[in-house]
Amino acid sequence: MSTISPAGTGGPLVAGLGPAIVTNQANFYNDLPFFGVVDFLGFDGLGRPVLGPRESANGSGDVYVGSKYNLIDANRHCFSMALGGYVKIPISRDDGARARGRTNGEYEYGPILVFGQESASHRLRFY
Amino acid sequence: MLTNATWRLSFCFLGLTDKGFLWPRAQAAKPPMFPAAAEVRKAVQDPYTLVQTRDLERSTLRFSRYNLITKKIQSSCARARLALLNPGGRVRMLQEAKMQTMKTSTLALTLLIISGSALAQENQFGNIAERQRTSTVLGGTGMFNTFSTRTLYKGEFNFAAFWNRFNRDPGGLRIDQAPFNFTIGLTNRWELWVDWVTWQKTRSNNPLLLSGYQYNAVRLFGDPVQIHSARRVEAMATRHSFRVREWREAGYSQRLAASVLQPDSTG
Repeated sequence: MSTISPAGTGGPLVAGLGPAIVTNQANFYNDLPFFGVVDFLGFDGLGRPVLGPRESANGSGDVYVGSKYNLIDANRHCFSMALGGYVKIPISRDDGARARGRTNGEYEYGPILVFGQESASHRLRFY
Repeated sequence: MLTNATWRLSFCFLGLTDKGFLWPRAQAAKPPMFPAAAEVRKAVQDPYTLVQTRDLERSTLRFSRYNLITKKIQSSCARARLALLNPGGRVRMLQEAKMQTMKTSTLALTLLIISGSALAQENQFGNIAERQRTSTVLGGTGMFNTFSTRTLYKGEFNFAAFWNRFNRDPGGLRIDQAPFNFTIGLTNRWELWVDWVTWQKTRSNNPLLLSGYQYNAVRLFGDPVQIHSARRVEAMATRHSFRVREWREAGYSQRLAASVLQPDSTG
């Protein structure tokens, strides 16, 4: 029996479907927001379905393609800079793969800007 | 401008078994020019040919080793014939062959990596920062998760495999990844990389804090406000290949049912 009604405050409580609801709001890790494999375990004595959370799941993950261009060479200057970017290609857009925590199923991209400084004969490097 | 490739990849075939190198044994097993007994006696009597006698003794010793090895091979062949006639022995032979192949492959790979590392260290050029360019977990030049401003030079390439584990909240997530990436220098200032997370395992130590479970339960079994019939849920479960029987046999359902189905406070 759920502790919070999915219909809101004062709504009917739910038996059987889904694990006990602890949170009353979305609660997820940003990179894998749909993680949560649910197993059907059987029925209880009253014939209600019993589902349970599976703690772990696995599979192949995403593919990343990226590139970087060196704008200021660290061999000639003590200060260096590079500009780049990457694209994440989801391995799957299927809900099952999202539930298994393999991917969030979305394309992502972003720029990369790196600054660097090298000193002490290039032995001390900050990026 | 340092345009030379920093890598040198050498493939060498080493005749390895789990017992050691093959080729030194093959050399030892080479049949020597075995001298006649009379020549040996003559050589022993002549003090000026002492050195030659020693050589002959060595040859004799090697020849006896050769005989020993030949006998061993013959007995191995006989055992193999016997084993092949016996079906159980055949399976055992296959298993042993598989194990030996795995051992040999592992050994060869280890040697290749070690020799590759040694070769990479031998190739001294440029400053220390140029020599220490490694790949990040995502690919691209840098270290761990931090990109550097340096890139691979034209024609250079780098491939790397990682094991990456990190923990995140909510839900006490522990994520294990095995990424593999490949980086190549297109020009002396421009590099390109591809990274694939070949395997990823996500584990939650506190799954009931994650709303993804509720979402997927609703996605699979419908609106939770409307209680579906047992027949429909079972049909859905069968369609999604849930292993009901295995879970029941493991006694997991009773335990989880006890935790999931709490007493109805509304009566």
